[in-house]
Amino acid sequence: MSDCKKCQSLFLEAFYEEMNAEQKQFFKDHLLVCEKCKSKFEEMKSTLQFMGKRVRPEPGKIFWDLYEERLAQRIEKEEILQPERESGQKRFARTFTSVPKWAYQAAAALVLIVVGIFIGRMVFLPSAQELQQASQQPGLTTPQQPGTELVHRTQNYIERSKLILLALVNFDPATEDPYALDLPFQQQRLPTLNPRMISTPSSLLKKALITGGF
Amino acid sequence: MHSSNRGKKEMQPNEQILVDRFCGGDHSAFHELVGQYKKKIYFLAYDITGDHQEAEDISQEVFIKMFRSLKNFRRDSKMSSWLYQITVNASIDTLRKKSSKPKRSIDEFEQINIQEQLLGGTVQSLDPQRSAESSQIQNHISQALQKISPKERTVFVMRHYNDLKLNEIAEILNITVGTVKSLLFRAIKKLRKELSSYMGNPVLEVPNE
Repeated sequence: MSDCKKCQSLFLEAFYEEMNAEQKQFFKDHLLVCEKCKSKFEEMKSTLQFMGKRVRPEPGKIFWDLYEERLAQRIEKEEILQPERESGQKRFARTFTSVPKWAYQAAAALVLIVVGIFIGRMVFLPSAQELQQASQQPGLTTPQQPGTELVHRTQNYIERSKLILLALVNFDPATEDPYALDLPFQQQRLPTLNPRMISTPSSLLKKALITGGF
Repeated sequence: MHSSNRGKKEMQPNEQILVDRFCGGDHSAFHELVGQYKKKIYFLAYDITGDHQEAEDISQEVFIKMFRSLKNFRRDSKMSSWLYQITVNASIDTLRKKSSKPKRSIDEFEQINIQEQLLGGTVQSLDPQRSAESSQIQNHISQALQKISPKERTVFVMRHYNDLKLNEIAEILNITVGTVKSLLFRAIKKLRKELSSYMGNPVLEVPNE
């Protein structure tokens, strides 16, 4: 730390006479040789001396003579009010301390269970709208009359394999090669799967055309 | 030359004995402690808030707190530091609540009081010009003090008008001596700027810590 910085850091101690002997000597010696620090110190000193002209208004003898009497009255008033405030607080606190601990734990567990059920129903159960839509899907309705069995079976089949059937229905096995259809999985499985899969929609279609189901 | 209200540090009677007596049910011990500290607490509160009524309220609050907490008072700390701490906190809280309200200047009671104290006579016997000048000085100083921040003002009045040492101030406010000095330097710089035209000197830099 430079001497000027060190000196300026001691300005307050110097003004208020809080320096030790070593600091005093250093400060005095530095101000003798440094005009800058000296003028800064004088400025600060003049400000503090001016502020020292402030006079605190003295409230007067009567104020001080009656001070403790006013204080005693206030303490008495506070002491009167304090028990009332405390009894209200104590009563409030007592309602909680009188209930056993296990009751709070059971209540907390119950709340957790209810919240868990609520969240589960919100997240995992399908909505009423979804249920209604699902129930309206043709594949799920049961045939109401024996005569509609064919239609029902056909509708089920169509729903289950719409895309494939689209190709199959439009496919004529008499003139076309079934293996031309891109059914790699079916081709890898038992050879019977492919023919049955291919023949079923054709037979259904023929029956439907005969009975006038479509 | 410091404040005209600077008194010598009085030797305090054994506070331990007074506290023990109070804990034993002797409430006269409490009154003795109030007697010892009432002026110090009142004037510190007045220096910070600048208001006589607030200063009285705050000082009474401090003693009420003391009355309630004296039995639990930690014997390893100084009574004065504890009381000053409560006073400073209560004063700064009051200032915060009052910050939206316009600050009033020295009222008539204070004006008359100051003149009489400064010039050593009743108002009727004072030279009008002298009394006007002294009132002006007090007004300027009072207004300049209100212009600095509450923290700066607190540190300044504690050192300059309440004769507390830098390390005592640090202990009461729970800050370092370096911070106390920084706040003091800032306060002095601002006060000089505020009062420069009145003091008749150009504003020059005060060293910062």
